Amino acid sequence: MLVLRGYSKIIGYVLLALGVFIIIGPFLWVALQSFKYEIEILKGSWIFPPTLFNYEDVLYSRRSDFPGNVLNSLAVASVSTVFVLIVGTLAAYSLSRLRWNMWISGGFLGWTLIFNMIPPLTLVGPWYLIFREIGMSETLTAVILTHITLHLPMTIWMMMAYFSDLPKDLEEAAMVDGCRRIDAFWKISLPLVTPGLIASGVLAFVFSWNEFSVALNLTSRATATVPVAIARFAQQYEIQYGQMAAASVLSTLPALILMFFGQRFVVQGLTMGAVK
Amino acid sequence: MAEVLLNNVQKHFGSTSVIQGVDLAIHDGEFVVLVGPSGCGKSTLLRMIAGLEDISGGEISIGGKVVNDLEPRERDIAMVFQSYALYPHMNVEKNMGFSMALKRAPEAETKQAVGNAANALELGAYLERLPKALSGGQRQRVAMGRAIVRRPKVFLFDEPLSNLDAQLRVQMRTEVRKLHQRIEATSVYVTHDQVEAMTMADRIVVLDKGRIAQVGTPLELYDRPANRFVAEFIGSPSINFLPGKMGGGRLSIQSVKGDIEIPLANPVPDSDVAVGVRPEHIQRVDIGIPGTVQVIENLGAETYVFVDIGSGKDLCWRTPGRPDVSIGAPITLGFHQKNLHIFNTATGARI
Repeated sequence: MLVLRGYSKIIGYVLLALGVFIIIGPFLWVALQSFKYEIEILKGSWIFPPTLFNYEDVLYSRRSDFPGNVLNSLAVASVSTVFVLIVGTLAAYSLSRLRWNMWISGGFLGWTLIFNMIPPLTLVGPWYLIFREIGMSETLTAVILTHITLHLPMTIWMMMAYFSDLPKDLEEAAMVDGCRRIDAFWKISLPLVTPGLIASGVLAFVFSWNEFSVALNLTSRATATVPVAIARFAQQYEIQYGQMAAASVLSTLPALILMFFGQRFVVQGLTMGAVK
Repeated sequence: MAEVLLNNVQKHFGSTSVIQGVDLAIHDGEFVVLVGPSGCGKSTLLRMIAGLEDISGGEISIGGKVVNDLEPRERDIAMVFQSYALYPHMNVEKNMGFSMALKRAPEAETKQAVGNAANALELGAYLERLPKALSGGQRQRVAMGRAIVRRPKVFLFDEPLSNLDAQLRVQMRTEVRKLHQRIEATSVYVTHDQVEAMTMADRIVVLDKGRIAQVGTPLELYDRPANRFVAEFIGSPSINFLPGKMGGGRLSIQSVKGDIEIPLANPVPDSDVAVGVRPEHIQRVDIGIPGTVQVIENLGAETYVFVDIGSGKDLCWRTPGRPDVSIGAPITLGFHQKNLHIFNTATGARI
């Protein structure tokens, strides 16, 4: 570990504080707005009587769809995460353990990268048309399917790193001990990549939760997810700054909770294979 | 308990041939060591017996049953890996009882089998521990315990001691051997260490580039190596080779002071030969091969003296005690004719 002393220590802390401020500053500002009445927001005042009006309006008022949006988002994020984990883990295991022809595995992995390289908006048009043709337009299923497609590559690549890090000997020992390959996978390999499952699960959930552009185009008022709903607070003739801020703050909660418990695994997962 | 038969076993990776037709019969209860330099195919051969590598040609049978197309779990074998391959998320007891749990054996039976193995290996106090909380030697013993609990027909060992430090290795060597004497199960043991091979084996199989160079008891291999490769591989320090010629009923060994002529009992065809003599068969003599002392290695009980005799490679002289020699001093060495191993230079075969 790098140890800083004297001036470099001061400079280090200043840079660190700057970095934290750049990341947290906007969020704190939004959080601040969420406790103001509309008039205080427009006045831009720093000292104001705090209120929970915005939160009450977003959560409980009859004109608000927000609780429904949260349920939509929860459904989309959880279901897509579960499928991404199942398919991604099995694909990663197969690609890292079975002896595939190089062209097949390389081709497949290259193909999955395409989804991370082209902007998702390029895909939204075709997807919109496809789902309309097959009668799934503006359904949660459609959003779930697209989120699975978008987040599967990341999971495959991450889980592959975890599987490749497991010594082959372990499974071989299990197979000599009396396991079929599927038993060896289920009883030996899978429990050992649990940190990887947590890490990719958290990431897939958070990415799906935050995904905006695809959801915006594929959902209706009834099926809108949280990011879409937040954007809807800005209408043509009126922008509900306070409600928007409150919804934004609320929308960060699931990700915040997940990251709080999963960050150890996520950091480990993203840097895996970097050293050693 | 079972006999393991290898019949013209071959392994190819693409166009490269790793095992080129191996025939071997491992008898019931025998401890056979496969030994050879890295890349000779010994581990591959063991993994083929285990079923972890496909067999490209030939046939392997265990206990009279051809196992070519059987999965590892159907072969009734146990294997100890170089890396130990303990399951990191299971404690010692679970690790050792894993094979029985898979067979859905009654819990009491599993507990007893694990207990017995643990006692024999002095692991009783560690049953609750995870592998990461064990020392290298203890992990090694857990790996062996896991194999014992499995009660296999054949034990396979893949360089199980190479990750241990020197002192522990010597200790474990005797423990593995003791274990075999008690269980008397057919065992195949792979190592690159010829000392391990010599001390542990009932029979040694020396492999060279995917072929069997020689099979025999440790002393057979030491006393009568079938070819130059085996002669060089078995024995530490390694055997000395001097260039020579055969012809006219005599063997002549080249040295800086002219050739040394040795009459031969049996007539042989003219050929270039390599004359091998083990370091302990060299003596200090008055008339013989002259040289200069280059290096002296004192091991306490014995001493290795490396002497330059002008043949390119230094001659190693192994002598008990502490001889009166100094670096740079002239010395004359000789050896008895009966201790010579003569190999054809072209083919490497023993003459």
